[in-house]
Amino acid sequence: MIFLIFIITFVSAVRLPTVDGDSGSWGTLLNEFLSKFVGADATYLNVSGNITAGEYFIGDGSQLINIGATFHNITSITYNGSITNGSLVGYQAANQICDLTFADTHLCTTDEIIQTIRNKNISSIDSFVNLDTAWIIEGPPGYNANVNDCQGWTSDSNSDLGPFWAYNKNGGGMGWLTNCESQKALSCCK
Amino acid sequence: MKIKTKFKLFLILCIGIISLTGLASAASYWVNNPANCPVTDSTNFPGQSCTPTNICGDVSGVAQCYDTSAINPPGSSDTSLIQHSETYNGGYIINCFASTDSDSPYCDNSGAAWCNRDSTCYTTQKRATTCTANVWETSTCGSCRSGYNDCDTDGIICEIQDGGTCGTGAVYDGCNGAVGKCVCGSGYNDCDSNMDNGCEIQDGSACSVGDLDGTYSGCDRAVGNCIVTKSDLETGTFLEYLVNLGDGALLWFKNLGTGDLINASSSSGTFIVDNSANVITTGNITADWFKGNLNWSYVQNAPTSDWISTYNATYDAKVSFPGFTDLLTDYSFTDDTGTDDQTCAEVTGCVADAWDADADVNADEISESKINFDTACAAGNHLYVNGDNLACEADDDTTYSDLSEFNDDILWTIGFNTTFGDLDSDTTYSDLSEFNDDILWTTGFNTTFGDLDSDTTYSDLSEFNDDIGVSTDWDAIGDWDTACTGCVDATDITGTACSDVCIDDDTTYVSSDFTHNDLTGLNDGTSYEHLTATQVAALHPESHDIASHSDTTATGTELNTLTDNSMADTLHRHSELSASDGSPDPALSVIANGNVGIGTTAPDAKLQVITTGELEVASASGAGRYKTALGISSAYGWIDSYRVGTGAVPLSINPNGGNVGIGTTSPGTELDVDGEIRASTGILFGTDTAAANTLDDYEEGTVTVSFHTGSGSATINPSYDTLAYIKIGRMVHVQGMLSISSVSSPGGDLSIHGLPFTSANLLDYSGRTAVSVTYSGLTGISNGVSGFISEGSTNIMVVENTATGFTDLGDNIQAGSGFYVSADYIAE
Repeated sequence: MIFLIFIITFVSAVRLPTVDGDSGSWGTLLNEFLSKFVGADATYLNVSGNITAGEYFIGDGSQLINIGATFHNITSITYNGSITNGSLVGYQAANQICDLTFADTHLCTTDEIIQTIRNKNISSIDSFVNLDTAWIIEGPPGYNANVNDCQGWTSDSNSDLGPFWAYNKNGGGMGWLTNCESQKALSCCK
Repeated sequence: MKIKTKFKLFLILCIGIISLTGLASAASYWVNNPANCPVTDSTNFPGQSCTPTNICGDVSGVAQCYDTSAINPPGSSDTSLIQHSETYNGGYIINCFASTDSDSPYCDNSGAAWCNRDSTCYTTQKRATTCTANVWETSTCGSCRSGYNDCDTDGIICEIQDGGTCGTGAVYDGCNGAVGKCVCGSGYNDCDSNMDNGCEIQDGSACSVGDLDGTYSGCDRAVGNCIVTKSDLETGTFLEYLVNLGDGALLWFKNLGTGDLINASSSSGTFIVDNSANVITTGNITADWFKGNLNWSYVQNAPTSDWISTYNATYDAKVSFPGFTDLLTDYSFTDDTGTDDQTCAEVTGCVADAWDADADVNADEISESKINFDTACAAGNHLYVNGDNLACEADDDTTYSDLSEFNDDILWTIGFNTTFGDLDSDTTYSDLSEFNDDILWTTGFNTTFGDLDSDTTYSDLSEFNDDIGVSTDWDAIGDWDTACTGCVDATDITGTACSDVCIDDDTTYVSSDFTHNDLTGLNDGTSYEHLTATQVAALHPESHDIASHSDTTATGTELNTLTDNSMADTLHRHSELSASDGSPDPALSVIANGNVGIGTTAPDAKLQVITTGELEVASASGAGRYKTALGISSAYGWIDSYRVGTGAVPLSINPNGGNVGIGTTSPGTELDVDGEIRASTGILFGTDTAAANTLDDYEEGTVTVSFHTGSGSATINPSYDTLAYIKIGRMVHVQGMLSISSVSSPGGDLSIHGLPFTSANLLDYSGRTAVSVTYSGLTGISNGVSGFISEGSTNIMVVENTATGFTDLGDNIQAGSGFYVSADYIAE
């Protein structure tokens, strides 16, 4: 599989040539327009709106950066692996708790924590506190059904496992599993 | 790119989980301080962390997290024999990786901690460990471990271990004072009650009884109980049968020959029930009661003393014969020469009450009661000596013509003894003053002799009849024996002892001729004459017992009129015998109808023994004797041949030949059983003892079978799906008619499943058994069909015969096909 390589950057106000108009300058206008999107040598794609493909984006993704949410903070309240909030349960409840605690945040995934460490200066993030531990989302089970985000954050059984991140400004910390009876804060990302 | 990253994390997670689940075991992580429990453990809980707390419990490989620094040691002491951790010695410890028990924290012991044993306490002192309260890893030594004993009570080492060896087959079991108590170990027995030689009998070890080999099983009194190999009649086994009334007897046989019914012998004795049903034994017969006629002639060879005796000082031995009023007729006594009708005195060893064994009647015998002379004769009669007897006659004969009326035998002449001066010394009477006025015979002298008895003064001897020629030797008196030079009594008139007594029958008697010669006591002032034997007998009816003869005033008579038989009948009629110590009393009873009972006073048969024990015929007494015992309980009766202290010995019935019947009185064979015979392990024939030759089974019944085909199916007709079988030993015969009700594309081989027994594999090579199969309703059959049973199978394979062998039959069957099967094969 081949992945498309593209870079999304800010796009300034340029325009395409007018049909039956811009006589003698339509080529210049078109070049200006295209250069805003792909650069003079077509090494990047810069749009302010959506990029829509009828089939695939092809490329290795190695340059796909700054495209996801990053760590924001952890909740002061701790939860076991069975998370509810109002009528919501599981992931939805956890995301809503993060959103209500920190506006526009959700329960962090492992990728988001890794991306934060990769792309952010975690030493300057005040909420990235040494020895803090908080639940994160890992997703589907690795081997046993009980290693599946505490049954999708619906289980507080001590025989089920859920992932959490042990934060450390020195190196970023590490992810662990612990039983779903444990009480931990929620890692919130935006 | 995001997908790729997720995939890598997924693989890492998978590896971690694989490791996690693979090691999800009961790992231990012992600490002497819970605060030392780890946060992570990559081996047992890979990928997991309890940060910032500690691992405290394990649920199927999932670490439980807890702030273990908050866990305190138990507040009370506890005792332990378990070494939970080799790292630590005695005291409380905790297992961080403990499987969860109750509530969190899960790494404690249900809210406590584990008490770890101390190695010194456990191994050296053989004691439990007492963990100290409120302190981690601190302990003391406690009580002795189970199975160990501190017999010397030094409080240190529990030096005696139960089960430890202390002699042959002996082991310790607790204490005996300050030392170990030595008892027999399992399977060993101290039959001789002497532990110095240990428990000398081991169950299962070899032993023998006579020529019979066996093995020990416990004790029989002081020696091992040797259980011999069972004989053909299983006499080494205690058998129980239920024989109800009307079913016959447990052991029921009749000997049509002349040999003994039972002849059992041992090295010490013989027990025989002969052809006339006499019981003959060289040993004793011991029983509570014997019933039946007791012929004393058969006990004459008994020991010379005490064969009817009591050793209890309180009670005399008694033999009574209640219900017999005429013992003289009904019984007689025989002396050791076989002479019947002996007196007690003539029977050796017989001592009558108050009577001596000699022939004389002594004064003490008179005084002790035998005859009441006051009442001996009826009113108006008096007693007199008549020959050798006493007799009564009417008192009206009070007139005597002369002294000739006095019988020479009148022993009242004793009345003339020294009381009358020289009456018998000078033979000349100066006057009658020599006669005592009180002489009552003067009555007899009345009218005939003048005033002899009227004035009590005698003028001269003329008052005496001339015939009274009293001389020194009394010869002149009537017809006294002129040859007699002795006396009329044991002493003469002067009191000199006489060797002879003169009687007027011209016969010289010696004192020994008189059996009851001292009639001095008759000198009571009354004139007596002889009593006839009949009169004496009348005066002493048989109903008089010895005790009634207590008249101490009786004098001068003879009691030898109590003949031998009268004595025997009166004194020897006994009906009961008591035990030597008085209990039981009675031990033996003979009732009016002649039945003799032992253990009962109302025997229902001639000889009835009632006991909860046994009637034993033994070779000797005590341990080691051979015995054949008869017994009865509410459930069964039994006969047991046995050697005390050793075990069973064979019981032979008709060892000399003759048939034995059970349930029949006319057995036609050596063993004729009118009913069923059950042998729990089989029957052997001839002298064969091989287990393989034991006929051990007979069975008959029916089995439901089914058809099976290699492909498709064949359904058996439920009306023809049964085979009948008979099994004798391992030989099985099966037969029956089978029919197919429907088929569904049948093919391949055809077999009948469900034989009642699996065919044996007798040989190393193929051991198929041919089966006779007749068929009907098959299609395409040219050469008939055959059948066989493979070894180890319960199936009959039915095949189509071909020119060279056989082929499958499955495609030849159809609805309605039938088979007649007859098979004989050997079962496993």
